[in-house]
Amino acid sequence: MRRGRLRSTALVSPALLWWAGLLVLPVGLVLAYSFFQRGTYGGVVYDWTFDNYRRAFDSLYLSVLWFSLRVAVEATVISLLIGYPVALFVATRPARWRTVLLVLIILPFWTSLLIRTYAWVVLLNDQGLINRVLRGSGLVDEPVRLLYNEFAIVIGMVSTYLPLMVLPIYAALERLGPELAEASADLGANAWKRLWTVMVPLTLPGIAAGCIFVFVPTLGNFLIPDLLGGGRRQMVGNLIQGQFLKARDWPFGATLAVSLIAMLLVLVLVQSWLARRGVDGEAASRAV
Amino acid sequence: MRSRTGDLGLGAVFVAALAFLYLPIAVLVGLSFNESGLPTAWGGFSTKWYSELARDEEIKSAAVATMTVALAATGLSVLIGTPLAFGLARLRSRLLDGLVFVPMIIPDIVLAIALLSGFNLVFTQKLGLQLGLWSVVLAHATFGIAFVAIVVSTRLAHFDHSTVEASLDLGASESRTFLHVTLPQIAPGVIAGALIVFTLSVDEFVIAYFTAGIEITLPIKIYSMVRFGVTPVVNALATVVLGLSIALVLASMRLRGRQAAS
Amino acid sequence: MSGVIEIMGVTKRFGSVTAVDDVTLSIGEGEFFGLLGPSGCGKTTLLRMLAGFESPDSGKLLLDGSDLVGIKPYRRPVNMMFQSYALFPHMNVERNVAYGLRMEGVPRREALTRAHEALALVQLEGLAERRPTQLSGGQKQRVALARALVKRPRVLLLDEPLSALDRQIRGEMQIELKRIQHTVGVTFIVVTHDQEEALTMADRIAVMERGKVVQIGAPETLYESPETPFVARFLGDSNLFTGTLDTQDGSPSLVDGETRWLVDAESANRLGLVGGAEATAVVRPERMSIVTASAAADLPAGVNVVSGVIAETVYLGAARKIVVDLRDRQSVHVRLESRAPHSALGPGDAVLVAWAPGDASLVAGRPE
Repeated sequence: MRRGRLRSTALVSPALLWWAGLLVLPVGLVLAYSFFQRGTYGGVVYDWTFDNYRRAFDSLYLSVLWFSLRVAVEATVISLLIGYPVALFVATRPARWRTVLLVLIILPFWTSLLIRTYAWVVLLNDQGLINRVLRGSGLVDEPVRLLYNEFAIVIGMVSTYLPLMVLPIYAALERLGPELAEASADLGANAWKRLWTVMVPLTLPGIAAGCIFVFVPTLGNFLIPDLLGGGRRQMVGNLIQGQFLKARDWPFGATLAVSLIAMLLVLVLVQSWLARRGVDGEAASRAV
Repeated sequence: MRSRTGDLGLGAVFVAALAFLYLPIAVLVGLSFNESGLPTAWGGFSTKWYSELARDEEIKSAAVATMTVALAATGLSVLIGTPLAFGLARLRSRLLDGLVFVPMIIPDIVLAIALLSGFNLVFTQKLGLQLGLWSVVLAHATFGIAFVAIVVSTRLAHFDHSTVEASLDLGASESRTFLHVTLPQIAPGVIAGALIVFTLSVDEFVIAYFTAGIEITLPIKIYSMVRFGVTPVVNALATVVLGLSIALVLASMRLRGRQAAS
Repeated sequence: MSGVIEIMGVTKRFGSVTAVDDVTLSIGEGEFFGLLGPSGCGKTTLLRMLAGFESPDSGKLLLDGSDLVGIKPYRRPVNMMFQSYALFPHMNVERNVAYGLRMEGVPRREALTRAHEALALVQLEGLAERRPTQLSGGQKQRVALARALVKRPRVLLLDEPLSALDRQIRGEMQIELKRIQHTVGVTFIVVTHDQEEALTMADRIAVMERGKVVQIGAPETLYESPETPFVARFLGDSNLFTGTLDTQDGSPSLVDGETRWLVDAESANRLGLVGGAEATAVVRPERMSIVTASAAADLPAGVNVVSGVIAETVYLGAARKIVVDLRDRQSVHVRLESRAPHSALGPGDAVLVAWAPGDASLVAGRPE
């Protein structure tokens, strides 16, 4: 059995070594950079300083951070409001339909984010399809400013990450099964009550997972605000890109990245704490 | 028990969601066949943008670069990720199992700047190497390994270990058992994982943007076409890429469906 | 005389648990041998050591005189039929069966021919092209059997072969396995926790408890003459009467408070029991009878009679099991053929239960 342990270690070593060198060290480097300074010509000067962090709390950058958080929350909430009914619909169909319906929802997610975001640029701009429909039907006279603003960014996020909200909620609903809702109906609860007293509480882990899956990529997103925000509305991701590729202030960019990671870590910890306190629907329905 | 109106309501939301998800795609595809190429007017059905696409040398070399990167990254991911899955199944450590998810959930911008910093420090400054397609390969493999490991792990979880013992019992040595019994059973999982990594790599923009140096992959090319000057050719290109991605994803799902049945 | 398999002083520990504790067994050529015991008794570990998937910490495992310890599973002339069948899902039935032969280097055509012969032996001829997912449980089991037997091993190990089957099929397979074993003449070693299976199929059984062999013998011997209360309880239903042996007044009896159970003098002597020793009389339900008060008077002397109230009757099809609560003490199970008189009695009826000392087996000690 000792030979077995040796073999297991040999099997996981290449991956662990790879990640040590290409993941852990680079991220550690970024963390280190956040404490150093930008050199005159854009390099890194190894003078220890907290200046970068002080700068990050400057109102200019704080407002970007705040905007990012706002967009992430909006995108998550809207995805949840749309995603839960979608998941519920698929979960309540006959078994043979469910795979097809799920594939339909998931498929767009696997296509290029870049291309889909570009498609929204086409759709939302002043000469785009939506404005043409609005003007053509006489609802508006002037083209509505749909692009290069918060609205466009949130639309882009939701349309990209909605499938990620649907999947875990669907999985949770499937594990829950119809029995508990039926029992609740038997005891006199109408559909609305069943939803809130039985289904939502017992699928809470799935909801939490879905929210994380949407919130995390949204908060740190670079591409969607870049294309749909048009440079006017920036999120943390754009700031970081700007610092690294334009202003060439790597240390400050690193600081922003560290702030982003910190925010996400807090979020993940909160979620797992909530998950431990919540009730797993599957376990509950089995125990009863 | 379910009310009809409730059901209809759910169905309506579902259809609306589908429309929302597919509308952009549909518009792009439609535009790619639009003679005028502009969203303002429909000029008639035409494939001229596709012909122009086929003639564009820059796009073609970017496509070749992207394919090369994707193949190399997929190869590396399979070579390192498959043994990882086996090791994880044996070790059964919850810590390691959780660790594998980190490369997947880390925001791509963070991974991008981290790798840029790392590559810059080690390769450019110390070794004088310029970043290029090779650095993109390394970057993509970094998350590709995780995806392959997870897909193969799922396959291994359903793997009946007693078939390995049966094979040993019937006279096959450990290596022959791996070849004849283990490998055929996990192969669909490995291929499905490879397809996922390939698709992700082909479409991947942010990390490539930071780590490609002066090289250009297809997503980078599309980005510059979209950001800095649009010609309708990009619609045709987008449609082609979309079609390929969908085909790959469906193939991957077919494979996983087949393995679930056996 | 040494048997084809000699297990000598084999011990196996997993961490702090001793799964197999100094077991010594001898199994003869062509025997259908059973390892019987509750889960955790070590029978499966012993089997896996014979197959080569575990190594003993100490002791020897001899096959035809040579030690198997250290020899890889694929070099042993021993084959196993797995509890989960372990059929290769990516091969059809005939390739599954031919697998072992191909690993030996047997040419493809010959391997397939012999595979078909093996399939004929288990009566699955027409299913050669099917895949395992298309087979029923019973069919999968036959394929697993054919796959192991086609290599003509010295010993065939069967790990809980019938546990996953429906009751109906199980009965048929028990007889099938015996038939096949007789035809082929290979030594079979079966591991099971089901005493009915062991009793039906095996020529000899080793009963195991917590890593040790408690009793070895033919089914009838184990059933009629269990040597410990554990064996008595594990094989078949039994009624246990415990007491202190009292050899005064000629006929020996077990004293428990005010109650006296008459026991057989010969059994007591054979066990070497002396006055004051604790012993248990084991009476099978079918050896007990229900008598009416008037009939009780006609019973010969030396028969134990006790009164009680029927708690419930369980209809078993061919027989009835009647649970009688004896006044102030235990319940006993009495088994009557369905047609027997008194079968019209029901819960709440007061009855007398009788058993003869000669119908009981005596074991030393008390049940845990």
